[in-house]
Amino acid sequence: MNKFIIIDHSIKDNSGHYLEYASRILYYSKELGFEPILLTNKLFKNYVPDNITVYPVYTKTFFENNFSKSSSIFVRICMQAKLFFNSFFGHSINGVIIIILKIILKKPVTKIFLTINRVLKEIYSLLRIKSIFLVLIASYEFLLEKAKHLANKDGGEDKDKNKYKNKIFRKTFTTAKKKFSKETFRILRKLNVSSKDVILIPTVEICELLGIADLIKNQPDFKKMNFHFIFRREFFDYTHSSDILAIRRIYNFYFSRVKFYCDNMHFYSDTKQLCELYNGLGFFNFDLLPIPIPIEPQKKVVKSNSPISFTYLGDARDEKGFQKLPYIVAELWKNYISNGKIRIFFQANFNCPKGEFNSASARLNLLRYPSDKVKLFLNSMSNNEYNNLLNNADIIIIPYESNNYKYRSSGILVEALSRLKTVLVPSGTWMAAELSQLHNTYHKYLLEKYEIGEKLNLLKYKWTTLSNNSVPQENNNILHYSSQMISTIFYKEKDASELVLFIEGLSIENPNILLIEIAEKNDDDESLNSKNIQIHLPKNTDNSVKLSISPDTSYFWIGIKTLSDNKSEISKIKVSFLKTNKDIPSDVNIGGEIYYDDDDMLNKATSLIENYQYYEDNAKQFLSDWSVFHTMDNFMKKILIDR
Amino acid sequence: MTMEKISAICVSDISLGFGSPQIMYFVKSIKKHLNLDNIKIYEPDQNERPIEHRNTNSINIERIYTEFPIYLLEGLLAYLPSVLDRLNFHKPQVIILSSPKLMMVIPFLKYKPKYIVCLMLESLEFLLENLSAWKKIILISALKIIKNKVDLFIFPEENRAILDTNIINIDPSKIKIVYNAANKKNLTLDDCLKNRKKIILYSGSISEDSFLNYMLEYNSSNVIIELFGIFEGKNKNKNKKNFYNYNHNLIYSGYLSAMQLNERRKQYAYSICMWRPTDNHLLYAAPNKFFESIADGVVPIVAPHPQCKLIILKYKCGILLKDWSYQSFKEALDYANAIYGTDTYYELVKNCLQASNEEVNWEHQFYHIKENLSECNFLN
Repeated sequence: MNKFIIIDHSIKDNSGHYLEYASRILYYSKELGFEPILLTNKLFKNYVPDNITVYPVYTKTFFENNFSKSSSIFVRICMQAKLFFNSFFGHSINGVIIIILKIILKKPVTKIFLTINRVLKEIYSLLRIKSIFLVLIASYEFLLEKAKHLANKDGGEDKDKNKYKNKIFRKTFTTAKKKFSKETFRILRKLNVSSKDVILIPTVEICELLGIADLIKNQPDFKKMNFHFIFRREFFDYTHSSDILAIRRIYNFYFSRVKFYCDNMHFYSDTKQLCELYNGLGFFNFDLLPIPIPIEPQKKVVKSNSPISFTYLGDARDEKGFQKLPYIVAELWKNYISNGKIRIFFQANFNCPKGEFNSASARLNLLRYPSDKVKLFLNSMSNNEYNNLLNNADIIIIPYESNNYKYRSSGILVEALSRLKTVLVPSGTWMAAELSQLHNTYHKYLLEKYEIGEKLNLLKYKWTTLSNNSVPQENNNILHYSSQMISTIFYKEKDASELVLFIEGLSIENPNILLIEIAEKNDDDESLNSKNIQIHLPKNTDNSVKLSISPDTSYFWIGIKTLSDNKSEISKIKVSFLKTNKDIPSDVNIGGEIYYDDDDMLNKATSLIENYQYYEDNAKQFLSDWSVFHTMDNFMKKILIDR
Repeated sequence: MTMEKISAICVSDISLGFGSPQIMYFVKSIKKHLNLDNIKIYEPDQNERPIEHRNTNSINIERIYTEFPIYLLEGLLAYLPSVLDRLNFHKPQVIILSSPKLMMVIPFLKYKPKYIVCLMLESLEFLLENLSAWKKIILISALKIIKNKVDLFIFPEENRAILDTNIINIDPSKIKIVYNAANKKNLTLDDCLKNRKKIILYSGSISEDSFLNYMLEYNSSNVIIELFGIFEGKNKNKNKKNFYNYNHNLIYSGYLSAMQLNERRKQYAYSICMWRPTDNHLLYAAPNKFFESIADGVVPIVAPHPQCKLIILKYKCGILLKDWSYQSFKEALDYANAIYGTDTYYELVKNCLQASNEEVNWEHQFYHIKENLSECNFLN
């Protein structure tokens, strides 16, 4: 029987859904005739799933390998030295010791102590400089290699790189990479893995990739094995756009090393945005992999006359926006929670012993509420508990920090939408991009039913800057914009109650964020209402926004600019008017809403509750097709075809 | 010292009656909840604060004289041994400490009290701020050991609780959050609006940290701001000069005690509660005057300090600035001026009273720790 092996070295227990994800895939692989095997962290013991063979193999987790400050032995030495010097040679203790020495010992001994002090400080400075030097060398090596590759006509493999360059390769991530490599080798050897088996590593970064490359380099018979890597995060977390070029260089350096050993390596990511990012590096082809949801989507639990359940799922972590939840509860308390219209259910277990600062404070605050109205789940949840909570939820808030989730997926969004839940997500994230597509489908449906008048093509309008300079427009086909706002005006169609704005971008930088300001004006040029909207604008994707119109509006002022420093282009910006005769509530979409800042989050939460029935009634019609891609079938097809 | 059986002793780090009314509230609540006859408070002698012991409900308060002011290390080092002598003499079963720095008495007790409560009204971070590095290390090391003897830590705000917990590793099960809320007054809308004037109250220290510069810059003939308090800070003389040399709509009415302020507060339409968030102590403010304003139906105008923001969002009982900028301050005061006397204003006042009746009152806050205090039932 061929084996389907999942390597997830971060699985220590059942928290964070890593175990649930791996189990789901392995159970399905079993149905396809594979022998399911799971390789986990050494600390994993109590939650062994049935019918899956588990080997607790790995010493370090994904985070310890890639993001721990002590991931390389060199960095660890620097850190230990720094701690030592800070504690021993820090001002205060140093001063105390000198005073004691002065009182107790003779002068010459004090002098020797001070001299040693100075020498050791010099050594410490040198150590710090050396670590910076190492990174510079890595960048230099990449450039050198690139130049040689260009000069080399046959462009063939060159395994016999000179030893100096290999030394740099070996120095980086040395300990973690070696350990991962050794541990993987031992277990795969023990399992007698062959080229017909599948080895999937669903949470991987450079350290694991280098470890596998090292393994193949040392054990050439492993070159025929099928390794499947899923990259779920963008280049080293917390990169800002201005750093991408520098980080790309480092990644290219590592990828170029790996390329020599990777005949049967397959690369995936689970969002379009991440695939584009990694494909942009030009070394490997990253395929889009679905996020496999349970084979039979859970039926929505029908509750009559019970309060709406407002739910948060996931660990209580700062990057997941847990610290925003007290503000939502406070905002909703008076009109919805205290009178029992809604009930709050928040998963609130920490991913580390004391919890992160903001999340820990937020949890303390939420614990003050009566538990029959605001229920917190303080311990990590089993699969059954998690599924119950998800099935019973009506509105699910996913308040993740936009900076961290620009490219990254959220399994919770996929599960929520596939179970026809209503969601509230932040703009500028993958979740917002996915929800935008749903909204776009819905807006097109509304046009078929309610559109009146002519569609306005704003590309043909005259756009000016705020200082009244004209904006160049290429044959009325492309509109250029930047961080300087440009604007135009357009008139309202008579009797229109809503408008839909359609936008499509040409931006190469992915994703670009567009800020739109729309002001409604009456006949006397007075502003009636103005709204700020942010649109996540991936290349060549149709986006749309629906807005309600005041009856007294005569015309609109629209301004657009980008939130980044880069210039960009729009290839389509059209306005359609709707006359809905109050058939549908204003400012409501389907599937959920996207919020732009914390104040908007509170407003949208209120709006979701007020209009919840509309979201629920329309969920099946519009959401059923959305999750068609994210099935286990599609997931397995991708992996097995690539094998 | 006379030999009397004293079940519980509270050690205060400030002279009572001028700030931190929670110390008195807590002692009274403990007395009532545990049905104690004998409970005593020791307070230091602060020269600028006369004895202010009205309405103490037969709680015995003793003022302890020290040569140096209590806020100096020398003063504290003189105060603690005097307190220690008294504690070792009376051997109360329950000890209440009003500040983490008072925990230093615990290792020197010659007996084992059954229950020790520490009111963390001042954050540890704030206390450690001005200490030299070696003093910090020694104090933190000492507190890390002593904290194990304390049974309950009461914090006025969640973020402060987490910050202090991280400094000395307090066991989370020993932490309770109790807001600095005022006593419930059961006021009606008419009670509040009876003598109300369209004046904004500011009470407290007057300096750049409390945005004196914004108040001076905001010059609107429709808005009067009346200030009570003391000019403080590095530039206090310059600020006083500015205050008296420029035309503005501010009235300075000197310094009032907490009691006097309580009697007058209801006359004011609004009360300003905001501090420059230069450190965590000011950012995570849990200000008495915010809660006192709510209790009196005086609509607070607040910067987005987390606790204040949460309460205003919850009860819609105040005007919340977007941030700490002058623009936000101006918009808030303009709004306050525009809505005074309208239904929107009366709604805000009603919401203040509702907040005070439902949750933002001392009695309700004390409820959060009643369960913990059941361990003190040995006293009955």
